[in-house]
Amino acid sequence: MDRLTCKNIEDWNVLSDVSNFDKKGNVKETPQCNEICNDISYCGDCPIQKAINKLADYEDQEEQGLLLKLPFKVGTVLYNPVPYYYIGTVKMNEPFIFETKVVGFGIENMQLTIKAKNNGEIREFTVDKIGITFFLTKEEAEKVLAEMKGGKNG
Amino acid sequence: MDRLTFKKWFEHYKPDEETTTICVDGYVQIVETQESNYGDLIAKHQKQHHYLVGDAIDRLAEYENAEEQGLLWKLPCKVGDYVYQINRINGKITTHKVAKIVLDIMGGKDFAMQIFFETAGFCFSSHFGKIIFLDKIDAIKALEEYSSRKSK
Repeated sequence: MDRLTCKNIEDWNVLSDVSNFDKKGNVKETPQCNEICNDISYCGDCPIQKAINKLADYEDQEEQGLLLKLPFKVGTVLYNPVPYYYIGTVKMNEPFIFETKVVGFGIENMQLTIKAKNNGEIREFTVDKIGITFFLTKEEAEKVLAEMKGGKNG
Repeated sequence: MDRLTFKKWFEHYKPDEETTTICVDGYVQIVETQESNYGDLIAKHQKQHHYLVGDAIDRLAEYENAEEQGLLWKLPCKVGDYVYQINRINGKITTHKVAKIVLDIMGGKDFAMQIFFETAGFCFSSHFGKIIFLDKIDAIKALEEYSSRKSK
């Protein structure tokens, strides 16, 4: 996503397209605040300026890799269809859908990892497993389960 | 940090259109109350380059919404960064390289962000600026301040 804010020559956060100056320092012919507002000496009090400053903070942090964007919330239930499972040491040769609850996220080796809990057992996997082995809806998981059952029967 | 944007219906917009505007110092009064200087000012801005201000406000609202919904978290550092830990007892500074950052639910609804080091150990995000620093100079300053306070 391209930035919407930048710093002008006076080190103010401004909207890139409304900045007095372009990146090369040339004056741009776009409407300026001082054409529509007599109180430009109080820009610090202007709610638009406050919003722009806050947006600039977010954009700076995102650019620096300091914002963690999550695909879903902690507490989300993920559905994990499996071709077989174990009860104790007994292998149950029956496809089954495990419901796991997301309890945390991590960043490791430049990848977002998900920590999910199922019956006290913590499982950690990378975000690219979503839609492959873990699903956000039970319907999607059931489709995969049906394929597993079909494969097993066929 | 308090929100600067909120969702509001406007008479002059299509009835089914939901838009976002600026909330001035916590008061829900913008644009609707034209006697307000701020409302007037924003109306002028919107007239002149409304699409630009509108885009920026929409973008800000996206960030604020995501943060409010727990989908956006500010990290104190990145994986691979070097951080400096002060030890107030022996007055030493230890350098750590960040290996992993984990956001975990702790207990009920509380979240904790843990920063794991390549060497050993970890810290919480709340330790930054107190005993963990991104800049060695800041770590030295903090240690000096602590020593001077202790000697008084």
